[in-house]
Amino acid sequence: MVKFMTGEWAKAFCKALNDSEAYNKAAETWEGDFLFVAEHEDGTSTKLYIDLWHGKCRKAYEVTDEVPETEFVMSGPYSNWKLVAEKKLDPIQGLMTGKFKLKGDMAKIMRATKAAVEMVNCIMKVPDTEL
Amino acid sequence: MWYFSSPFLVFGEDALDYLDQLKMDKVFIVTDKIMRELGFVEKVEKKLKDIPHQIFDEVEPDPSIETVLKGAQLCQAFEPDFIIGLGGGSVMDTGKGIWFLYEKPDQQIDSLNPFTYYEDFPSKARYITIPTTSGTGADVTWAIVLTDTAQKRKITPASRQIIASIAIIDPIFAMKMPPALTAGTGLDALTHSIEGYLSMWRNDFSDAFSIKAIEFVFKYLPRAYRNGEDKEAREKMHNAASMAGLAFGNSQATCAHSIGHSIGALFHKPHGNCVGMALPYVMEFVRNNGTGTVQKLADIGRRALLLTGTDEEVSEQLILKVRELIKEIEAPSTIPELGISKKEFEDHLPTLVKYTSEDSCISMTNPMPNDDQIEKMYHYMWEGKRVDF
Repeated sequence: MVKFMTGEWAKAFCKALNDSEAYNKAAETWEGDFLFVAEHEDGTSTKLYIDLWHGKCRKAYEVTDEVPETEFVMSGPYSNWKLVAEKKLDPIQGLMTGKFKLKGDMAKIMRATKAAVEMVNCIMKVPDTEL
Repeated sequence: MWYFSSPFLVFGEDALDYLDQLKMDKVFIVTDKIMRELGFVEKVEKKLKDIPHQIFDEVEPDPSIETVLKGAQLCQAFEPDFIIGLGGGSVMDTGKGIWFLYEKPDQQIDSLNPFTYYEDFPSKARYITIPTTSGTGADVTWAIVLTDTAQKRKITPASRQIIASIAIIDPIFAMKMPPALTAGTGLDALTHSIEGYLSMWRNDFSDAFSIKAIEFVFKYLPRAYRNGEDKEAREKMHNAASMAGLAFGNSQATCAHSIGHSIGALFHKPHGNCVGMALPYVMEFVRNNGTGTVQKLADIGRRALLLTGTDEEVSEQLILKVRELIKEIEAPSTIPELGISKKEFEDHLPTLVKYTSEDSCISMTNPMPNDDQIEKMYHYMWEGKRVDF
């Protein structure tokens, strides 16, 4: 079991992306990195860095010190991330209803919607996630 | 939590008279040259009487980003408090883009997205759509289909905030549609309503509009096609198109639209013909592979067409009814019937598959086909063969 939204989970998510044929194809021309930010009720947050390159995940880890500058930042309360992992919240609908925020080059995202959908769908595909 | 977006709707005979009730200072009209030739622009101008207005009639079929930019520049200079989009889907979509850039000149049209809330939008003008065909649903939807001429592909900027403030659905504008246009746009409405019901994001509110629209299309499209003077059929089809727009606009279209967008972008064939041609093949694919899709198709058949039998039987009858309707209104049912040669098809097949798999509507398909399945569907659409995989 890997605990959700930890460094270990980030690596498992990275593997899920690499194992997903649908993501590999949809994102074959995509380059960019993401910061996933899960905001906790006590005011702290967990940050995961995800480096994506031509349909593959090159690197993923939990940010514990200096926050790297990334092309995209997707943030939201931890409880909403958990709903995504539990398949109770469609992450794109979550973005559209303000349950998550997305910052970055939106024109780039709008031209790669399938890649974006496949990427966030992989959140639900990480096996043995402990919520 | 989810949303249902709709403009304020004014519909039925004489709906255009609603313009008399609005206090307008300056009006910017987005349209095309055909609307001028048909006298539709003049009809609107008569309603505006002495209100200063400017006409931008340069919208082309499959409008480009450049057209939106040009219109927005003129609109900025004119400073209207109302913008009217008078025409088919291309015109009304261009109007949405012009409205957005007029309100937010610091933004780029291709970065318009449904994840960003645009502060103080709208603050300069309200946008009125007046559809002149019965099918696109663009009068009530919040996406813009534009052509990126450099990349030779369609882009679909979207935001719930760019939905029209008011939609005037007056059947008088649909009366002059020739039979082929009636057929193609009617099939667009049918595809919107059926795909809206099958979409991953279908919901209680969109379902209601889907079912009524499907019922109306089956009942009134053949009548409107056979006799363009049939006022009742014209009015009901005009309403059906907007209802279908409200359905798919709030639940999203699926793979038939991805196929239609791809064929349209590469071969410049009418959108309604492309999506209508693809519709039964996609229905067969999702019936064979989707989760709960046999039941959903049966729901449509029972509720909209009063078909009876088991889920399997009714879903099959529904697909056959769609195929019969396409034949009855003499619309293309295969890729060759769209006027595409075998060589053109074969040369472009890899691009068609690529564009289809990258189209945003594909993500809403239950289930989302992979590239091999998409390619196979294209072969079936070429041969006119029923999808059996």
